[in-house]
Amino acid sequence: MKRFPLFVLLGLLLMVSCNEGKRLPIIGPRTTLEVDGATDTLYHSIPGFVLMNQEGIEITEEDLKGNIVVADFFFTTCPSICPIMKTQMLRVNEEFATQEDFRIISISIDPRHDTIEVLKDYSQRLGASTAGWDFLTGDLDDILDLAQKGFLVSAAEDSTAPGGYIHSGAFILIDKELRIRGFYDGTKEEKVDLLMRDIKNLEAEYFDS
Amino acid sequence: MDRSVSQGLILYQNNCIQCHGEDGKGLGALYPPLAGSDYIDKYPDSLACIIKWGRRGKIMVNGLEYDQPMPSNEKLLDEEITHLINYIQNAWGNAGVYTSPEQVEKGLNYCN
Repeated sequence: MKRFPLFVLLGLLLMVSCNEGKRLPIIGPRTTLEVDGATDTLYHSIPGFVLMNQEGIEITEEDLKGNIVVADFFFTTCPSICPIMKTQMLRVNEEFATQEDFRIISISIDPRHDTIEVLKDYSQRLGASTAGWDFLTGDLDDILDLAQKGFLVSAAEDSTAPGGYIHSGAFILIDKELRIRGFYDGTKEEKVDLLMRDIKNLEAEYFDS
Repeated sequence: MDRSVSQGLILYQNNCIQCHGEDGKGLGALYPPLAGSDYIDKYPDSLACIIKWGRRGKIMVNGLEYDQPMPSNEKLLDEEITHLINYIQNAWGNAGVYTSPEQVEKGLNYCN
């Protein structure tokens, strides 16, 4: 049996060890562009929006840029999945709130009831430091559009659903360029564990680059 | 009686746990605790109506004011409400009192 060249072995070893921390996928439709004979990929990113937070401050997609963001859709009178989603989001908040470049946004899909005042009261009652956590309200159609076309999750009025709305329990992970990097079931503790691990992986991506 | 409490646990997990929590402590100042609740101590007979019809408006529990609407559970049978109450009253170190379907049925006549 021929001796396998040592340097090839070492090379392989190095390659394997440098693949620690898998890169998160970039999720969503994408288009390829021909630019000067080279192809460039345009990834889906969160589109422009204008919403108000619980302090009455206008929040747009510009405020999200440069941050790792976890987003969810909820409404304050939601009887079914929202309470457990909030309990889980509190975990995420506790773990990452003090970090710069990290934000949480919880967008209400019942803006008629969830006014700025209601959201302010709600965020205070949640009982956690919600400094980096925006509770957003605005125009209903804009919000449902943003949910479905921007964040790629379901959210719609449904008179047969408990609370009157049907919506996804997903926590959506967004990177600093507004691209979607993951969906996690916010009603399941083990999925939120995964999210928290992926947030750290995502941070590492920026650190390494 | 223990059978009622065990059935109550299952009902609790299917209907109440999202807001009131596995430990009965509720959530922040949004959803009141059931564990060690002075409201339940003072008004044990109010439980049946609250469980069946939900509740709106402010409520004081252990010195804190809560004001989130609680959804109704109209599909629950009197027997199921009995098991739920027995579970709540015997879990997390609560009082340890028991109610019966007859008492629950009577109580439900006086919900406002």
